[in-house]
This record gives sequence, C-alpha cells and structure tokens, in this order.
Amino acid sequence: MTTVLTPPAPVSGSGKAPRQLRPSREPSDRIFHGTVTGIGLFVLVIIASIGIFLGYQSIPTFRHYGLGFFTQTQWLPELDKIGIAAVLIGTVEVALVAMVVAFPLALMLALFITDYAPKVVKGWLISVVDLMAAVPSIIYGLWAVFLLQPHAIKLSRWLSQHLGWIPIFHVNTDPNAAVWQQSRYTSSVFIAGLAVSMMAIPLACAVMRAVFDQAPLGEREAAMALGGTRLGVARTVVLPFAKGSIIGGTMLALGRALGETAAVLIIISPAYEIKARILEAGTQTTSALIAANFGNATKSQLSALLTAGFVLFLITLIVNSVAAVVIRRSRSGAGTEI
Amino acid sequence: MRTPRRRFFGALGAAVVALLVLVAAAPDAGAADSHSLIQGSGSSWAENAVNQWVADVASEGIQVVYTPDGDAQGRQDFANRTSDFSVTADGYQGRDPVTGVSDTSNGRAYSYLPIAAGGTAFPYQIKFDGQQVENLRLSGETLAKIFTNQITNWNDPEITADNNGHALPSIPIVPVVQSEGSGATNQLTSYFAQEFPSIWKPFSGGVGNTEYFPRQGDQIAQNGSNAAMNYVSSSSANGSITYVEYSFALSVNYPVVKVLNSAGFYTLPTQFNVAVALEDAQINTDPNSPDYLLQNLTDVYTDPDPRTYPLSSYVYMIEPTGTYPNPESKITTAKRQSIADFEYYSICQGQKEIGPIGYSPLPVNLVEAGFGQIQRLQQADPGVDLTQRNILTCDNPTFVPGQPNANYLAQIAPQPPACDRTGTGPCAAGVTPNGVVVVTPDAGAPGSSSSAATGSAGSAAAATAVGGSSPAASARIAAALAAQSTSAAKANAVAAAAAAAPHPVPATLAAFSTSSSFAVAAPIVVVLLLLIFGLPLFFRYRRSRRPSIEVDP
Amino acid sequence: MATIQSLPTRPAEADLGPDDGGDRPVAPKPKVRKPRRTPNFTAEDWISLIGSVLSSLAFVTIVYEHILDGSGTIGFGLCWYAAFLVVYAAVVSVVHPRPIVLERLVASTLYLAAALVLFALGSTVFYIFAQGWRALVHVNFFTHDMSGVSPTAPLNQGGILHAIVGTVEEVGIAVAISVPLGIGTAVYLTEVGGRASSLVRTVVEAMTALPEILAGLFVYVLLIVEFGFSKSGMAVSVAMTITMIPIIARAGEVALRVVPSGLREASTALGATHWKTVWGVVLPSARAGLATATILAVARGIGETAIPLIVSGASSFLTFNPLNVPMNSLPLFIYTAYTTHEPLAITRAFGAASVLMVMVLLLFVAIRILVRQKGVRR
Repeated sequence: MTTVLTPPAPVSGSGKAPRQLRPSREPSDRIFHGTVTGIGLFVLVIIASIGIFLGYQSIPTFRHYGLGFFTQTQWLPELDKIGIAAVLIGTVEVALVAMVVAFPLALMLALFITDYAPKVVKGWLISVVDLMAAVPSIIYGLWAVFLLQPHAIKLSRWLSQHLGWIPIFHVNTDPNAAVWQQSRYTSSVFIAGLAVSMMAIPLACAVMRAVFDQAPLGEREAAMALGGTRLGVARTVVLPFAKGSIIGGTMLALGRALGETAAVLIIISPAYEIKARILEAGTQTTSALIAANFGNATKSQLSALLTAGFVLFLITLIVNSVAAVVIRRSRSGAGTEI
Repeated sequence: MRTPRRRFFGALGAAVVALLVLVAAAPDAGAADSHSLIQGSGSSWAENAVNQWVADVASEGIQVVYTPDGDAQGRQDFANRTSDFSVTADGYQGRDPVTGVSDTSNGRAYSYLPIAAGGTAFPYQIKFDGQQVENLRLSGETLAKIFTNQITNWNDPEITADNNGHALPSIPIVPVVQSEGSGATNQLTSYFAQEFPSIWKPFSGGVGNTEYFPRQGDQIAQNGSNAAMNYVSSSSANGSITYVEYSFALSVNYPVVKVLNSAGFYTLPTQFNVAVALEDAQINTDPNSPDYLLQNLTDVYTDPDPRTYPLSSYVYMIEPTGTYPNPESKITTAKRQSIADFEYYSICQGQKEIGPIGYSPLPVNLVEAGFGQIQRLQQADPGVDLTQRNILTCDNPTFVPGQPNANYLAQIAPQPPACDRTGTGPCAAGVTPNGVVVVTPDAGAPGSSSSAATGSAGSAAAATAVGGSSPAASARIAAALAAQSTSAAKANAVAAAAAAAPHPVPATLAAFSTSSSFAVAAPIVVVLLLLIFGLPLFFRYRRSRRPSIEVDP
Repeated sequence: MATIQSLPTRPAEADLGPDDGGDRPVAPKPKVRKPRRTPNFTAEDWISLIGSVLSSLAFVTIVYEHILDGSGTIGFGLCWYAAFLVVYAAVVSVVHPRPIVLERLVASTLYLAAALVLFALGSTVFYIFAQGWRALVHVNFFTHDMSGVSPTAPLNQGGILHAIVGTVEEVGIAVAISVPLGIGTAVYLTEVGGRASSLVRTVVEAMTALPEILAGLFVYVLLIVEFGFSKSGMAVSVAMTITMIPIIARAGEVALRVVPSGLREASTALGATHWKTVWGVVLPSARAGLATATILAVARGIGETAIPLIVSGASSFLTFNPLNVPMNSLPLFIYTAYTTHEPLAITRAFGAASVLMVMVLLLFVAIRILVRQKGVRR
C-alpha cells in the first residue's frame, strides 16, 4: 500500500508572502564594497567634474566673444580678436591626411600579420606594432622634422607640379622653377599628417588585427576548400567579418590623430587662415594653439582656449562613441575590447 | 599565506616605499644657504644675454630657470604669480580703451629695471650661383614694404636703389615673422608705425605697434627668435628675411641688413652704434611713476648721428616688490635674495660680457638707477642682504669716470665707412658686421667668441683704415678700441671660461656632498638591503614555482 | 593440409649493450625519407618575382630620370612600384590563371606595406640612436644636470640626469595615485556593479578620448592659476593621472572580466568573503592583465610632452622635490633643447630621446615577460 504524501498543514499564520532573505554581509565585505564603490564614485566625480569644468568655460567665452568665436579666423590676443575657425579646419585637415595615409597601411599591415606573415614572425610583428604605438610623439616629431621633411617636400613639389590643378594640391609658388622654393613646402599640413599617421597606424592596426584573428576558422577553411587563394579568403571571409571593426579601429585612430600635440607643434609654422592647400606651409591645430598661447592668455582668453579644447574633446568623444557603437553592433565586435 | 613570493614582493614594495619617502624628505640639491631657485620668463630678444648670466651665477649657487617664451607671456606669467621675475621690452600697458584688453600685473607690486640694450637686426639668406650675399643694405621704408607684402621679390627696383644700382636676381622674398607675443615684433612695429604709418597701418588694420605680428599671405611664422633665426639659416630657405636681436645672427655668423639711418648712412647693430643711438632715448625719470625707467624711442629712430642704428632699444626686468608674507607669500626671503643677487650680477659684472655677443652694455646712469630698483627688494623685505654693492667693481665698458651720463662706447664708436653712405658703395662683399672678411658659412663658421674678439680688433683696423678724421684721433680711437678689445677679450675669456671650463666639482655631486649625503647614502643602503634579502627570496620563489599548476583560462 | 610457410625468421632484438664484435647479423636501418617539400612559392615564382623587381627598377631608372623630371626618392619609389605591378602581373599571368595573378599582386603589395611601415619605424629608432650616440658616450650625460651649462656647451659638459629623475619621479607618483584608483574602479565595475556602474563605465570610456593637452590645461587653469600652486612635478603627475586612470580602469576591467567565474564561485563555496575572493583569487589571477594595463598607461604617461610643457617649467637643475620647484622631464627636455636650434643642444635632445626609447622598450619587454609567464595570449 502506497502512502500518500500529504502536504503538511499550513503553519498557523496569516499566509503572507515568502520571507525576503537578505544575505548578511560580513563587516569586511561591507567595508570592501563601501571602499570600492567610494573609489568608483570618486573617480566618476573627478572625471565628470573635469568635463563639466571644461564645458562650463564656454559660458564666459560666449558671453565675451559671442558666436563669432566660431567664425573668426585670426588669433590676435592683443586686440582680443580670437576665434577657432581656422584652427578647427587645420585640426581636421591634419587628422584627415593622417587617416588617408594610415588607413590603407594599417589595413594592409593587419591583413599581412594575420594571413600572410610566416608563423615565426607573427608574434614578433605584433609586439613591434604595439611598440610603435608606445613610442612618444615627440620622437616622431623629431623624425619628421629631420629625416622625413627633406624628402617629403620633394614629393609635395611633385604633387603640386602634376596635380596642382586640384585645389588641395596647389601651392602658391612656381613648382617648375629651376630653383624651386623649398621653404613653401615645409611645415605643411601634409608633413604633419604624415607624422601623425605614424601614431595612428599602430592603433588602427591593433584593433583590426585582433578582429582578423577572430574570423571563424570554419569559414576560412570553407573558402580555401572551394579553391580560394589567400586573397579570396580575405576578401570573402575576413574583411566582411571585420567590417565593423575596421571602421571602428579607423575612427579610434582618428580620435587619437585629432588630439595629437607634440609632433604637430614642432612641425608646423602657425598660420591662422582657412585654406585647403595641404602641401603649402602654414597651418594651426587646436592642441598646438593651446600649447602656444596658454601662457599669454588673459582670463577670458584662457576660457576661450579651454572652450577650443572642449570642442576638440567633444569631436573626439563623438568619433570614439560612434566607433564603439559601430564595433559593438558589428558581427565581429561582440567580444572585442577596444 | 606568507609564501616566498609574497615575502619577496612585500620586501620589494617596502623598499620602494622607503626609497620614495627618503627622496621626498631629502632637501633640494642646492637649496642650502640663503638662496632659492627662481623662475622667470619673457623676452626671447634678450634670451642670449639672460642665458649667459644664468650660466654665470649657477656656479655661485644661484639657481635661475629662464623660459624665453615671449614678452607677453612673461608679463602674464608674472601677473599670474607663476613666475618670480620676467623680462620684457615693453611695460604693462594697462587697459586698452579700444579693445578692452587689460595688460596689468593683477595687483602684484613690481618695478622695472633695464638690464641690457641691443639692436633688432634683419638676418637674411640670399644665395645664387653658389654664393651668399653678405652686404645687403635696405632703408626703413623698403623694410616696411617687405614686411607688409608690398615688395615680394629681391629684384624689386627699390631694393636695387638702396644698393646703389646693384640688382639682385629674381628670388621671391619670404618674410619670417614671430608667432608669439614678441618684443622684437613690438620693436619692429613701433618703428614702422612711427616712421612709415602710411605703409604699416593699412596692413595691420589700423593697429600701431603690437607684439603679435599680423601674419598675412606668404609670410612664415615661427615661434621665437631661435626658430626664426634657424629658419632663415636653414638650407631650404633661400630668399628669407627675419627680425631678431643681433646676437642670434652673430652667434651663427650670419649676414644682417645694414639699415639706413637719418644721416644717410647704412649701419649695423654693433654695440657702438646701438650705444650712440640710445643716447637719444628718453627714459622716464619719475620714481613715483609706475613706468619709471621705461623707454621712449621716438627720437632714436630719427637720430641724426651717422653712426646710429635706428632699431636700438633697451630691455627690462620686472621684479616683484610686494612684501612678504602678505601679499607675496610665495616670494620668500631666499627667493628675494636670489633675485637681488641675480639682478646685481646682470647689471654690473654681467654687462661686460654682453657686448661681444651682440648686445650693448648699459650706461652708468641706468646702472645706478637699477641699483636703486634692487634696493626696493630690501625695502619690501629687510632680510635681503645688499651689502657689497659697489658700482666701481662693475668693469662696465661704458663708464667714463666723472661723467655718469656719458657712454664711453658711444664716444669711441667709429664713423661708418664712406661706402656706406647713400648713393655710394655698397661696401665690398664678404665684409662681416664687424669688418672682418668672413669665411663663407659653407666652409664652417668660426666660433662666436673668436669672431667677436677678432671683430673688436677688426673694427679697430676698420676705424683706422677708413674712418679716422686725423691720425692722432684715429690713433686715440685705435688705442681705446685696443683697450676695449682687451676688455672684450677678457670678457670673452670670462665667458669662454664660464662656458667651457669644467666645474671643479660637478654640480650634482657637489649638491650631494654638501647637504644631501643622507639622500645619497639612504637609497644605496636600501638597494643593498633589497639585494641581500631579496635575492635569496627571489630564487626560492622561482624554485618553488617549478611544478606549477597552470590555470586554464 | 598445406602448411603455412613459416615466416622468415626475424633476428632477435638487437642487444642494446655495447658492441660485441658485430658477429650477429643486424637488420639494415630503414631508409629514412624526408617528406617532400611542396612550397607555395616555387623557385620559378621566386625568379619571376625577382626578375620583375629588377626589370621594373631598370625601366623606371631610365624613364624617371630622363623623360619625366625626377623629383626625389619618394616619387621614384612610387613609379617603381607602379611599374613593378604591371610587369609582375604580366609575368605571372603567362603561367597562372587570373585569381593567382591577383593574389600575387596583392601579396606583394601587402609585403611592401608591411616593409614600409617597419622601415618607417626602424628608421625612426635608428635615426634617434644615430643622432644621439654622440651624447650618449659621455658619462656626464647620465650623471650631471644642465645647471650652469649653456645650450652651446660641448657634449662633455652637462647631462640629463635631472630629466631622467624627473620622468621617473613624475611617472612614479602618477602610477602610485592612478593604479589604486584605476584598479579600484575596475573592481567596482566588475565585482560590485550596481546602478551607478554603467554611468561610471560610460564616463570612464569617454575620458579615454581626452587629449593630454586638455588635462594639462585643466590642471594649469585650476590648480596653478586659480589656486596658486607652483609649476612643479606634482602638477605634472596630477595631470598624468587624469589621463592614466581611464586606461587602467578600462583595460583592468577587461582583465578582471576574463577571470573565469568558476574560480570566484569556488572561492565563495569554500567560505571566503567577497573581499577575500577578490583580493586572494580574482586579482592574482588577473595579475598579468592588470600589469599590462598599468604598463600601457605608464607607456602613455612617459611620452607625454604637452603636459610638462604647460604645468612645469623646463628647469636645468636636479631636484627630487616634486612640490614647489619646476621639474624637468625627458620629453620636455627634448622639446626645449630642440627649440634652441643649437646643433649641440639638438644632439643632446636626440640622446635624451634615445634614453626615452630605451625606457619604453624595457617597459614592453616587461609586458612580454609578464604575459608569457601566465600563458595569456593578447
């Protein structure tokens, strides 16, 4: 005979909801949680207040200079005629030149490391690229001024000779003269862009390479089984897989290029005018502007410099955020740490 | 768990912390006795003179850090209380009624004292057919038109006219200007605004003198006098011309323009010509005025003496004269002592060194006025020790005994050669500023000190060769110049000795041995302890790690 | 019944002892055949590659110099590359089908791109050392500072001891402040979490985008101008921590997240409190990743030039005091020496740059050692 299990009689009570169980924290855990939360919030407060301080500086700037701050090209502190129109354009130009040079090189280098390099050198190449990212920017600046510039101005002259009908390659001098005016090609957006690209390449390459490595092996092998060459595998499997990260990595590098200071400071000669002629001497970027003028700035001009920096920061922030979103949404991006 | 590894890292961490504490507690190198490190910033025009003095006083234990980032920045740093002194050619302008920009010291009490005189020179590079032009002469009007982009090629007829019909080939002019708030720019634009307003004002948009050159068109901007001089002397800058203090061109033996003065002669900014020109400078002599001792150069531009160099000027130091501790809490007595001693050296013994390097020493009356300004530091803080300040020990070449307002250099300044007059010449190519035939820069320039020394002797030769009015006068001038050149040579020897002789005790080791032996010994002891106790632990830790259990990631 | 023919007798196993005269017959050693190599790139391919390179070089040399006006090495290189592509494509297409031709062209381009980037980096490193060795051979370069030495003084006077000490001290203080804060933030984000954590994460990620010059300008405006602090090494360290904390926090968070949760659960199951788990299990397991994060941040901090330029003066005196006196550092020394434009000062600048490069190299060797010890692949 089977016994029937009957549920026990309900405990005499009011039939309330189940009792909430709170884990009782050890005192050490309470202290630990409190400390760590405190540290996190402290860092949050510090960092956020920096951002707020920078943003807050725009109030006295606009009160003093008005919206003309964005349309004025000159920077004449003595006359209090200052504006960041030319400076922002210069920043964007230098960053774009850097990316135009860095993007194909980084992409090709990443593809080379993952697919084409012999296995023995792959690890070494990865370390070399990371080392390239760690080299201080002043060193690239010295390299660009002393080693690169004498050769690059010949390239600038060649470009302005044969492609000078395109406005950005035009230079206001005669490139065909027997004794051509070398000084007009030095200290240009082009040279600064080349130096900055040296810093952008490893950043973009690291992101792209990490993702190329994660391309699913099964798809790679399937492409090879169907008779694909390495190029075919790259074209059909790796690059589509990593599309998002390629864009994301490039935009990260762009963010770095926008904020570059030291190399640009020693390469360019300051010229506050809006011009698209990237091969010609004279330009100015936001960070170089700040570095050159922070000392002689009055209180309101300091606010103006901070606002200019804040605008730069916002642009970099937007670029980085878009990069993060693009990467996260892409097929490859789920596990990527940028 | 006190594993060997933990013990090793614990020892390492403790050693690092101990090291940090010890070095943080160690007294500053050289902070001993009554001096303290002082920071100054400002004019790059005066940079070479100030750096010379900084190097000289370092051996006496006075530590000075000077940053030549421009007059405007120097005054602003002083107003922000981030520097202890500043060097500037122009004083605080106050509040500009038109633009509303205020250039004040933000309530910080200050005084000016003149520290040096010099001329704003125009080095240039014009090369063709493998040769470099070295005897270019230009009038002020031509220079104004060059720097306002009205003359754009070296073969312009006005340049040819200045050079008595000798035309240059067609080479585009590249004017190089200074991008920071610069005293040299202020000198240049004051000269242009005063003498050639119809050329300058339309270019600058109605602005008179300014420290920020309104760069336009093909002009190249460089940050500071060093960068401008370097640009002009670089191999790719043919056709460029800039404006810097004479010492920058002299130190690299680069040719500078001979500028036309009101008497119709083209002159160079030697210490003699500058001294002559500055006899016409009007100095504010009201001790109660905030602009006491500042200069008005209007008459200097039009001085009728044939030896004048028009763009001559003084440069000043701004010293803090507020009291301690309120309101100058950061300027301690030790700092004030350093400032006072540095200033005393600069305007006294330092003066005889700056002539040969391209500046001009101060006349006696300004040195005495400067002593009075140094006195204000003691008035602000009685702890400052100003004993042993005797003007007779200065050995300043401008002193004429019994005549405090005279400038000996101006008295013995040689007359310009006849070929430097308008309508004649130009003087022979290959003649350097100092009258010595130069080695072309490509063949290697002689050192600045030697060229300056030969320069003084050379100018003696030049004076006797061309300028002397009578044999007796020229003999007297030659004797004076010989005496001058020996004192200049002495100055060179002093400068060379200061620059080239090794310190008897290297600065750092001296600092270690005098006051910070503890700071030297302690880290060494800590490192030794670390090695003695750490190495066995380290090896034991490595041995214990041999059979390691790898954690699968 | 047929008998199976007996198998040929096998000689007994050869004695592994010493040779006893060799009177027992030993089976001949089987002939070891090495596997045949089937290279992807045959000798014929090598020949066509090298031939294309040389022929395009010859072609461009003639055409570039004499027909077009040659404008420098870079233009020559570009034309050589274009000619090489054409010639190589033609050569390869004789033997191989089109996909292989494309593959070869792209492969050669990739090799060139990698070589170009490596050459650029190599030329940088080599040039720095080549220009700076003249300063590096003097012992006084490492044991003296620049007090009393003018920029034009010869290389046997003066040195960069003050810059080296300044860099080490500034970075050391910055690390001492930012590592606890950064790792604490990382622990907060991974271990404690909560509603505020996503906000903290967003803000920290946003601040990695902050240009270093803004950090410097912030410290300058707030601490130096407003509050009256002196230009000092401490101000540089504070600005450096602002740039370093987000890097350590983000990379540290990733490193902590990679620690398998099984470890955490095992520790909790054994009765450890959360604190003990984190301190005893999670952090040690993530040691390599955290160290890598720290070293990445340090590598960034060491090379920052704009910050010392703004908040510290370029002192020429050796000092250990981070508080009231300006402190020089290697990047700032390089920058100020360069701006004097004196040849000897520039040599010193290159020497300092070499020292800086060696420091960065050592940091990276440290990363490699740390990573390899734990077997974690980056």
